[in-house]
Amino acid sequence: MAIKGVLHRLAFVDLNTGTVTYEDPGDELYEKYLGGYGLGAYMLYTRQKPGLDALAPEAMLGLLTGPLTGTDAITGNRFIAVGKSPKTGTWGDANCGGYFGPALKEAGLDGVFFTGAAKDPVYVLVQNGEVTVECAADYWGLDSVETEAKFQAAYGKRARVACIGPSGERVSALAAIINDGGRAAGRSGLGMVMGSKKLKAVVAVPSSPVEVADADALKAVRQRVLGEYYKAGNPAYELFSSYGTCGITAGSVQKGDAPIKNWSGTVHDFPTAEKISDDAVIATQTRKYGCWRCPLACGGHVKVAEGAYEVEGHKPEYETLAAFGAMCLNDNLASITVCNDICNRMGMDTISAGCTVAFAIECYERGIITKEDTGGLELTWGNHEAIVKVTEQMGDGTGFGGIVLGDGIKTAVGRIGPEAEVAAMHCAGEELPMHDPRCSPGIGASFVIDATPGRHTQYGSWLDEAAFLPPDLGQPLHADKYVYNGKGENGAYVSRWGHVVNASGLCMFGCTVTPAPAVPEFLTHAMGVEYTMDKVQEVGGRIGALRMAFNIREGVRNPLDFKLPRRVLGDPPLEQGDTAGVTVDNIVEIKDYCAAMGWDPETGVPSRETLEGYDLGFVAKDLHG
Amino acid sequence: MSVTVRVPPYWRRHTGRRADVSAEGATVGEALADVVRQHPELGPLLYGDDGELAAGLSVFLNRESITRRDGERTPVSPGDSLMVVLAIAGG
Repeated sequence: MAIKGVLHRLAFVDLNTGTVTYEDPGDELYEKYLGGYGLGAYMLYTRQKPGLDALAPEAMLGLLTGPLTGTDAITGNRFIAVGKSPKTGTWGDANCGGYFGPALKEAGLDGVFFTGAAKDPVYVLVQNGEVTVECAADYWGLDSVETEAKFQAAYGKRARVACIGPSGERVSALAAIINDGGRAAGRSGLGMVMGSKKLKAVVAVPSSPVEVADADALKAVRQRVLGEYYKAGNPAYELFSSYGTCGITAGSVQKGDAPIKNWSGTVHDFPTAEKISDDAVIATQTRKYGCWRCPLACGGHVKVAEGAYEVEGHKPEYETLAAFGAMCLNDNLASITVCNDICNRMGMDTISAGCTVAFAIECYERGIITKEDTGGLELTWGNHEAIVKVTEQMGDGTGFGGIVLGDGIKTAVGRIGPEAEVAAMHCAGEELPMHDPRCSPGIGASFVIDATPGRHTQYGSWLDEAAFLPPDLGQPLHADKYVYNGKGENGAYVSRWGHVVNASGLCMFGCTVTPAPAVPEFLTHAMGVEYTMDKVQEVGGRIGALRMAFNIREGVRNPLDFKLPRRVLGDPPLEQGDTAGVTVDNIVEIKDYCAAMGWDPETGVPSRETLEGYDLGFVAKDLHG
Repeated sequence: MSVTVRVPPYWRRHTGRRADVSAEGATVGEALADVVRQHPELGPLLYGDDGELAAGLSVFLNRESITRRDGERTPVSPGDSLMVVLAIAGG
């Protein structure tokens, strides 16, 4: 019996030659790895030569859906970009919502992988399960909004586009893959990989709905779960449906979850966070935006006209508000909305861009860079005009912003000099997201030990600390968050769960509202293979081990060598605010987590027994001989 | 004495969309109780079945956590601001 919910069709595009081949991964791989970065990790591990430069033409870039993408499973609207990260040299992935994922599947593919690099810019057209490589000369140079509009004029309004903007065309490390004019697969630098292949866009023209094993049963689970969503007082549902992530900004600044002043400040340095939070943001919203069939609809479109700032675009998310706001001591919402729009249009990750601006401001304030270096920009805390200007430069590749900051913090330190290291807040080259280990210590472990360093979209014990766990998941932490030992089992259980969410094509936010047992039910009814909570743990453990094995085979022999900046861990501790006096020991939790995952606590290497237990004997042979 | 209590965004449907509620009381606990008196729907959100502040809630008095002072018994002065924050993160 062929597994349902998937199309049994992956495309492999050689951009050197323009040739396309198709494969059915087969039932066994779908059952074991699902899709998304599960199947993506399998394909890269088994097909990509180890040790390749992330930007080498032979390096693979994949865009994959999951078995729940485009189905009635709630928030089944995600796709995931996968590849080796050019920023960190590790496994890379970036998860994105909107409409592109379901459209790719309805166009007839579970995913598409690219190798090679086109001589001249191309785009890839997917329709009726067939892929063609087309000339992108008419699209190169357009921003993401213009690109999508032009493709929709050519292929119809139902066509959905995942593209790079000018930032990706210049092969900038800040580049993201953008769809729907402002949904971003932003992290890991995979827009940079796409640009290196001269691949402007993937255009999916949907035609056929996804067939599932038991449509009625799947709908019944959806209806039951929607009832849970709509229960009175459900805080996560209230948050996402009424505000979206902007609703947490002021609270996060207050409690110390949002890093402030490039990780050196407290709420006392930024007492006006309400000006860039919740009701202030919603006051600019002209209409809500929801990803494909999402009952939360946490996004929105906004319009701002204030002084020199006039923009219509997507509502800034919490990460963006914190990166361009709290991190830069900037409480001018209009300027942040403009920066968000610049990033969306030029195709840049807002987290990396905002953090890089905060880094530059600290360098300027310390005198490490001067007005002469910045071309006249006064990069001082809260100077929103300069923040917008330097962001524009990062987007178009000009001036100080483009030339010095345009590839993120790690590269900028190399361009400025070692004295800038003091302000460089990143992990292995990835700018850190807007969640502070001093508030949720578990994320300090996750930043380091996940196969994609410096990420907040990986599950771990911090979700428990941040009250962000799905209902009925089990494995509660039941511990003081500042007691660091004894959390390994919880962190491992939650991270294995998260791997399945991400590989299935579901949204992390939605899955904080959805009762956890509904996820295996969705998988069962979509795929026609029984999934249980135990099987979710098995599949998640397999995916986690394979992602880590990818890194180890790439020469990242010990992921524990990745260090967080001491400032981020509270060394020295903050003197004010809710996290005053906190210094985090993330090493204890990392080692406990590794042990619980069946990985060596001292090296992070999955043991032979662990790998063989997950039917990863081929990986065990690589790692252990 | 009157203090201002800022309620979490996702509770504001119970306060007529008002972010700030003016409350009377000599302590944090009395001020919060006055908020509940004005907006009874907030009671089950603010307090657990045991009558204590609900798990996952943080309350800040003039930007400092009341857990660093005397909890709900912490005295308040006219013009003080209280902020109620849910533990929920994300984004």
